[in-house]
Amino acid sequence: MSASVQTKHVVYDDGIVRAFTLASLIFGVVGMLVGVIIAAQLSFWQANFGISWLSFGRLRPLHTNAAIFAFVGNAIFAGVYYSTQRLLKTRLASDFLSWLHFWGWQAIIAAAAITYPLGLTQGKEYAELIWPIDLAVVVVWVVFAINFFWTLGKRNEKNLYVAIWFYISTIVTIAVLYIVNNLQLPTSLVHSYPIFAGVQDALVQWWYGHNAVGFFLTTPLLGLMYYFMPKAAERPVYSYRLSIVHFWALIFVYIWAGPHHLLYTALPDWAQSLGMIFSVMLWAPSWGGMLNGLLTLRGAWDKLRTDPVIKFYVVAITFYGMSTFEGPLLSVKSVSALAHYTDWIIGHVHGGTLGWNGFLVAGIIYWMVPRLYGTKLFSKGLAEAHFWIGTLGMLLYVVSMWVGGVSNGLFWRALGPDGFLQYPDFIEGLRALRFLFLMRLVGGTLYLTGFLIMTVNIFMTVARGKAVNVETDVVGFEKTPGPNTWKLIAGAPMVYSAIVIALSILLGVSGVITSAAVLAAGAVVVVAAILGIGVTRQGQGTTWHRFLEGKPLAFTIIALVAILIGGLVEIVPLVMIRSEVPMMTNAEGVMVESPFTQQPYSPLELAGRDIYIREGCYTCHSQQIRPFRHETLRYGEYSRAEEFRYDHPFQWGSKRIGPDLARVGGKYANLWHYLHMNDPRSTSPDSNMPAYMHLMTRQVSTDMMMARMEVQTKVGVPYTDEDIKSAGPNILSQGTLIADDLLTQGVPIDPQSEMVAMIAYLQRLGRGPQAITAEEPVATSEVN
Amino acid sequence: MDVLIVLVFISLVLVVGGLIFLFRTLKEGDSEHADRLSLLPLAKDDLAEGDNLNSQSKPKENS
Repeated sequence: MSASVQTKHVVYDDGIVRAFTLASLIFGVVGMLVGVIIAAQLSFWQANFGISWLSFGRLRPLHTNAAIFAFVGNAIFAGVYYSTQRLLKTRLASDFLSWLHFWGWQAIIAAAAITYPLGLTQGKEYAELIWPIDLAVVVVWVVFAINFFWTLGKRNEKNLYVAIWFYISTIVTIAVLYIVNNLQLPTSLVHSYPIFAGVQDALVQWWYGHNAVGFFLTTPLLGLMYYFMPKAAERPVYSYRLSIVHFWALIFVYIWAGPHHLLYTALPDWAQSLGMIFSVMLWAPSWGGMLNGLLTLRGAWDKLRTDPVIKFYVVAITFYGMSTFEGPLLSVKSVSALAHYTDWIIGHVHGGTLGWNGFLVAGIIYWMVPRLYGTKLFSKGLAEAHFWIGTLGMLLYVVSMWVGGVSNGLFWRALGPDGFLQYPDFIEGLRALRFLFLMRLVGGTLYLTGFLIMTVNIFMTVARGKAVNVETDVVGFEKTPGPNTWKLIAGAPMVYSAIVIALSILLGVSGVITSAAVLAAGAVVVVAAILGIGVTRQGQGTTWHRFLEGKPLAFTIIALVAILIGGLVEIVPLVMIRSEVPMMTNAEGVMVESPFTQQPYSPLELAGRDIYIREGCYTCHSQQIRPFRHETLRYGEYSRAEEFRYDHPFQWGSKRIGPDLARVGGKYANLWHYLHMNDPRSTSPDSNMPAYMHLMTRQVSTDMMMARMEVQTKVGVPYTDEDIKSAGPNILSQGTLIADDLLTQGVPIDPQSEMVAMIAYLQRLGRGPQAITAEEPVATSEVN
Repeated sequence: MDVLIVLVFISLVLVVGGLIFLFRTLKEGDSEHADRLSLLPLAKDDLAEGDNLNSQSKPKENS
């Protein structure tokens, strides 16, 4: 042994692991309880007790954020801190940063739990947090990153195990996604507008949304799987080499798949196709990882009978396999045409979160907590009960959503022999889902029951144990000569990869003849790369990747490049284009925007739009009509990209519990909207929509709207100074038109009330102001 | 039809490339490194379930 290599005494910081673990349990209960409450509201609309901050639209973001960032997030941090210290044979770099990370994250969760019910939201799914909390998330994430990379720097194990690679990719990718998707300009301490609008905002949001699933709910958990599965099975991972392929293929491909959330929307077709193709490709690395996890149990399958931890892991990885098969399937355009906006998507998402995330976390907690407290699990029987009740709950939930989704999709598209909609009334479809909504509620309640059993079991285990920090003696590693960071980054595999990626992009934009040449060149490069990388030794019989595993900086940079490529190729062209805006030649022969293109919202309509966002209407209503006969028959002409150019943020939604609203403007009278929001059942019998009576008592603030319009100009909305100065009179005059109309039908209402603003916004949807006459509204006879 | 030709061609390249990679790996036989790393999670660096310690620590040997 060299003199430079010393034996060191290390005390692991397991206190921080305990804290994150217990926080995960507590917030898991809260997040799932909120999920059960909103599931109950789908069946029993009264379950919001008439309180605005308990309405579905406000609680749904609380449920999703609590499940993702509070429950799974805290569990990830616990597992990452536990495994990183042991894989790197060193204590976490800074106790102060660890605890700052912990308390900062819990403060963010508490802030989210307060702001969401109050309606303080950005209105973008899984990114609803308002800007001050976004800043806090960035700061806490940076704290986590510093602590993690600092720990890498003082490690006593030269090579980074595969779990660490996944943690690295998580840290850098989430940072990129979160910052880009939350680029926004504040209008006040609690409100902002994103810098992107319409189609661009939709692409950025779903690039973020899909990869929040990929890099928050998948990659860190795969890292945990690669650590905790071998621990529990007492077997090494099935194939270390497969894990290398799994890692690089997954992170490179995953980032491209976001547009599959926007198939058949106004997003350009090339972006949709890229999203679909990469989603299908994602199946391969995902199943490679799944098989690697399951086959780790080779020779130890008998443990499945006796060890609840293994049971949870096996079901979790199986659900991972199911979800990662279902995801590519749903990304195929023709399948998406049926499934999009239906409960099939909700079933898919919950298969992933309840099965893959929830059960993997449960297995990890059952395995870790007895060891963190130097005792045995309080009750194996309770763990078994949790397993079976949770599994039954999941199956009920997912199957009911599958059945509901497929049948609802078929219901919406059904045409009669005359070529028109067989079921023109949207509410009929909702009625058909009632039983399945109940099954979903029962399934969710069972899953929560299982989780509560685990919580009790774990707290009893904690009570009878004693907190233990493991101490150990480790041997440091000797620094060996090899290529430096920059030589590794410029190594042969990187060069070959760059050539193949460049050729692939060229293939996408080239014609048929050029394609043949590009394909031939690509084939030569691929074969040369495989042969070349195999024989290219970086000295001393060591391969490029082996060196890379010992160089965290090089590894991080290459991982960052891998995840940036897809985002750049998809987002940059879309942000730059203006081809969606209709142009015309003016009298001087100069190309200008057509005056018939979309105009900015009036101040009152903008106020109504902000209320629509605050109430979370997008959680149940889409604003995007796809180019299918059954959709255009039901909702009107299909949506075009230019219609959304001033929508900061876009409100296309992802689910239709209620009908699409993209062209609801002018479809109903003002009175209909008034009655519908006061008591949805009065106009739509059997609707499960909450009532919004509180909009009657709140007023639109002129000063606030002027400030917001000012910020809108900075993100590209062409309000003039005169528009902003005259916002007050403008709000009053447009509001008075609506209030006078309602008064003629016996409804006195404040013209500056939020109810009037909401009606103004809904009446504008699908129509520019140029299409609305001064005598609006016209339809006053029908109220159904 | 163009896309079928592209798909078949790319698939063949990947299959041939994969086979070359497989045979080269088998010939090299350099799996010791992967074997050592894959054993990292199995190091005895945590308590066995049921270790009811009175002290706050349990030193363990780690190679």
